[in-house]
Amino acid sequence: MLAYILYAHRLIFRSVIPSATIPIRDSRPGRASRCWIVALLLVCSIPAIAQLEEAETFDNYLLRGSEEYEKGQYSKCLATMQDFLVKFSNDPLTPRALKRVYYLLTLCSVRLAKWEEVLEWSEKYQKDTGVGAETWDSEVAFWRALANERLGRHEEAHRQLMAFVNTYGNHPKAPLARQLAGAALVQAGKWGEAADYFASLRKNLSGYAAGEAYLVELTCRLEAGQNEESLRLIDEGRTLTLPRPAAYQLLILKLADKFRVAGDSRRSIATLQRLSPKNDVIAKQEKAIVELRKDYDKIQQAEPDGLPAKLAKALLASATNGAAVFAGIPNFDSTARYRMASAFMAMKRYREAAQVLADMLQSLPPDEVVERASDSVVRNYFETKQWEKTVATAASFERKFSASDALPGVLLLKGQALQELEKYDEADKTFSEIIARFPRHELAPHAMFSRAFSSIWQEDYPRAMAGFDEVITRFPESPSADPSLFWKAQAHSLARQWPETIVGMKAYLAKYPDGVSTPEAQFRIAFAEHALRNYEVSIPAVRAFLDQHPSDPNRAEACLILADGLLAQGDMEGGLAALQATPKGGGSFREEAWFRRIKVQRLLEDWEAMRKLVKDFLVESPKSARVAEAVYWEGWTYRDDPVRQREVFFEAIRRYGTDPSQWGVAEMIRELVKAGPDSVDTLQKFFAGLAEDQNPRSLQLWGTWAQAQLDRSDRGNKLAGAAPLVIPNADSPLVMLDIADALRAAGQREQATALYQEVRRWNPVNPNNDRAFAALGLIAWEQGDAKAALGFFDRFLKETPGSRLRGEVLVRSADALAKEGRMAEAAGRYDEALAEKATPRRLKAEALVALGRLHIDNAEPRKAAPYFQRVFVLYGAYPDLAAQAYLGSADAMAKMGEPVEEARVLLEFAGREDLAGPEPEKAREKASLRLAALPEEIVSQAKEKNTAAELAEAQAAYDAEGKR
Amino acid sequence: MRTIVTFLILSLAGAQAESRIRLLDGREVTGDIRQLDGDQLVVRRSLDFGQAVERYPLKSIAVVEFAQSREIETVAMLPAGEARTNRLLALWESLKGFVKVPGSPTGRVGLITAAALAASEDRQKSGQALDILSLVEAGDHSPERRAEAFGARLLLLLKLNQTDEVREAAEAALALNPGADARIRAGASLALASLLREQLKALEKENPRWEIDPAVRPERNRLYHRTIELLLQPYLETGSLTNPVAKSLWQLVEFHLETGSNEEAHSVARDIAEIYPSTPESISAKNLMKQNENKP
Repeated sequence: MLAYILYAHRLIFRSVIPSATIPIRDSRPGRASRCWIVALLLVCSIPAIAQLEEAETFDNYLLRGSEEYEKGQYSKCLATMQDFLVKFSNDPLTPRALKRVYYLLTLCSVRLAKWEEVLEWSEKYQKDTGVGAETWDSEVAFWRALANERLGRHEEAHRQLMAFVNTYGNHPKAPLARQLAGAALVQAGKWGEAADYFASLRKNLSGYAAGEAYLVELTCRLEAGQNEESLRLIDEGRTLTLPRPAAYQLLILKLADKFRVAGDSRRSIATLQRLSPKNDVIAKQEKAIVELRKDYDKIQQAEPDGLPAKLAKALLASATNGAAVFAGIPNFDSTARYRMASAFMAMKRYREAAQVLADMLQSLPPDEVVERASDSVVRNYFETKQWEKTVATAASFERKFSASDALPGVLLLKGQALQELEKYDEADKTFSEIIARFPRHELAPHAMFSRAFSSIWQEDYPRAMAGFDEVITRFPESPSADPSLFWKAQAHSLARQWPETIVGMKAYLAKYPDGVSTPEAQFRIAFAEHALRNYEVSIPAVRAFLDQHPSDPNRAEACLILADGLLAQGDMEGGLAALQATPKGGGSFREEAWFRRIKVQRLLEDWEAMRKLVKDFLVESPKSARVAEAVYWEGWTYRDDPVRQREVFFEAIRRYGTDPSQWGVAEMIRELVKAGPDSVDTLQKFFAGLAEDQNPRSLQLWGTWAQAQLDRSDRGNKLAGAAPLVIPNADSPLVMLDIADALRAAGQREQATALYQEVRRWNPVNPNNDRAFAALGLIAWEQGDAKAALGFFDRFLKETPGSRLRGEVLVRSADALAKEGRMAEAAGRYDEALAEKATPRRLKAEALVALGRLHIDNAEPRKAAPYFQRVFVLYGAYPDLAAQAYLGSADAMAKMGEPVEEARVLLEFAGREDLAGPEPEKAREKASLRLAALPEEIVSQAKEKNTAAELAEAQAAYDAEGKR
Repeated sequence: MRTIVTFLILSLAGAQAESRIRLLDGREVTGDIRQLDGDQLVVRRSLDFGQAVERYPLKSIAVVEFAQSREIETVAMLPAGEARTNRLLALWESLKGFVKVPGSPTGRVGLITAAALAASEDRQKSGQALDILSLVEAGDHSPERRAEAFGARLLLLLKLNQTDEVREAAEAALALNPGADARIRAGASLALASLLREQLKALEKENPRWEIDPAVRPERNRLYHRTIELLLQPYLETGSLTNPVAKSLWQLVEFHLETGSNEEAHSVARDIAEIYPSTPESISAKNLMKQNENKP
């Protein structure tokens, strides 16, 4: 780093004392000196006139010394001057010449790099009381400081250089002395002082000089361990003209590393953020080199090989070498980014780490660091549950680093992320790829296990079992063998194959008595035995489990099983005790235990105990969503005392009905309505009282809804009228859906649509959402918006499987698809509707007619005919549809080119007097017109055939009767 | 003494009326800047013997200190209101022709004026603000200011609900090479993040129980992650752009707080406080950290 400074330093000793620096005028007597010497000689000549020869020698010596120095004969000059001192030691003139002699001796010693002698002569020079030229004083002071520096006495050198600068501030060597004073501090290892020194120095500099001083300051601060100050300083570097931008980047990297080592990840990041891309740095460095070269050429031209030129050359060389070194650093950008990501990871900031690394993966060319980083990015995305990104990044990694050692791990994460996205087929494909490409890799068994687990998610238990079996067989010693054996048994459990579950779990316990899932396996065995009603086995098994694993997460469920077993065996006391022992932390199991205790007391017909349990439950869980349900059971205990029961329910409804979240109030109302016939008036009065109650609103709503349950004749009006009372984010979805249905029935489609949407909005996973989606789709369909209807129908089919409305939605969505021209999909939906048991018969008939029409439109009349026939044979209860089916069948025959069959169908339709109603009549008219349009001969043939068929049918019926 | 003071005032007044042009060759001239004629700055100079109109090619100019500079600072400090906006508009009108002149405060005036106009709910004024920002964005001599105008324009468009335009412009900017113009990318990230943040809010409002809604959750999570990613982008990509990064990070803090990720919010706040201590956002960040420390 300090290359430039040290280089410049060396230069000084090589060539800083050119003749220009110590001009011959200064080193030999100038005009003034000469006058002074002449005067001196005159003064001295009087007593020494007799020693004229000697005096001449004295002068000659001095002149010779100067000439030798001038000619560059420094050793000679040194010897001459030393001789002089010996020879003329007692000369009375000598003291007057000593200053000059010491000066020359100092300069010669500098030239000969005899630094100790420089110190000796310069000291003598400075101690000498004689008169010397001012330039001699400054030169000697400068070189004396330099000698100290060369002899390693850096602090002394610094002190003397500063003294020089202070005394000779305008000296041509002052700028150099200032720099050397800083360099001396650097050499002395006084980093802090040096940093402060260069900070102060660069205030008076500009251009590259200021930039270079800045770099030295930054280096010193780093060396001084002033990391904070360095960080603050770094931003300034961006605003300066730096001669060595590459060195600047390396200093930044060094600072980041210092923060990293100190465990200060945040500052390490802050520092790394200041780095520039390598190519940008190289470009800047090249630009700086061009500028530096221009500067050098300019200076060199002005003063060839002068000190400024040599310094400029040194800086240029330093920049050039630095650029080469920087360019040669492999993976600079990726290393920097990777370090930044690592710092984020050290702070557990996986998101930031992932983002940094992902950027790398995209923008940097693949290298070792990028490869390592890319592996991390997949892991970090996985860690932050960004599944799509995990998959995408893993795919990118696969493309870039197909031969990477990390690929199996990356693919494994990709597969697991795909599982999270419920894309099981793709996940399986990924796991299979790992197994096929890396069969001996340590992750192959894990991939195989994960693949089998996909089948668990998809509830394909036989496939899952086979998958786990494969892991156990192929990789019996792998870490995946333990969970595979457990999950194979667990798959049996999920498939409710209890004997196999027991065998499987026992096999697991035998192989892994201290396995990861040992407690769970013990519990599952007990559970399976319980399911098989082997209570003699299950009860001790559960007890053993509870004893051995007092804090197992399955404890609450185990208590319920134990209670069930004991109760099944008639041990009521034991069962109740087990229920009571269900731990409080057991969530819904604890609540369930309360309700089972209530149920037990109901079986025991201990009404008092039931009521007490309800009260205790209300004390323990006053905010439970099952509070109203509990009160319902309290009321139930008074079923033989309707008056008392009503009192309980009335009180509970008034109490809990004020809390809109207590949807269990609906159960109480239903129970009251069920018992209603005996007390319609009382209930009506009570419900009307609630409905009229303005405060709170929720009671008013419950009252209105209850009235609608009680009086079905005015149900629609009452419910529709309650719409303004609804607060969608609180009220029971059941009540809201009833109101929405009523609005829809009353033709208030917009209000109904809004309420259905609110129900869905606030209750996204409510089991009654099928009603909302179906209704929304049907309203859209009724309004002619097939596209919107399909949107709702698709969500219905996707989000609410198993709805009783499925048949209707399938048929209407098929209608909508057909309207949108998506015929194949429409046909598929109709077929699905026909296969659905719960599809109402009329809708099935509609589906058949529609399918027949689709086939005709698709020029497949032969396929269409059977659909129509099924309708008019099996669905005569819907005359309009049967009539359409006859016409459709006739169309099919006509398209098939069978006019006789067409006429037969039309004739048969004409004879179906059971098909009455306006639509069948219209159809019949059409049929008559078509018959009339057919040739008489054809119609006659058709009649004959029909008669023959009727006779054959009658004969067959007769035969069958005879047999019977 | 009074004479001297009066003289000084007159001198200052005189100095204020004239702009100072520093040329690349080191010369300095003062005068009244009249117009920019093509790439030449037309200056009327008072000379001892009268006045002269001189032309300086832009490429010969190092920097121009405009006479209006002091007035700009004074007006900027005025309390918000119509009077301030009108004075800013007048300044803008007098300077808008010099937006590309090195050292010109036009862009700065434009940004302040646009902010003042945009603060009103008047659509016409917002349109005027957009025009000003577009001019600064297209022509200002300072790349920093061009980027700032770009970011401000996108945010204003967002306020005006022109979301498609914002998305298009922001995505185009983000598609640029990261090294192309980090400031522009930072502005685009911030604008797009603001847009997505609004979309996320709307989605959550429409689906208050999105956590348990399998149909909505993926989209909600996509918006959530993308918003964070965009707000982090300037920080991770070009962390040295102090002001835009601190601004973006503070939005991230707010976003984390909004979405209940308090731990992340405090972590980012600490980033701001420690890495960007000189920004206005660091004060808010420090306050937040202090609040957190004071919590029982």
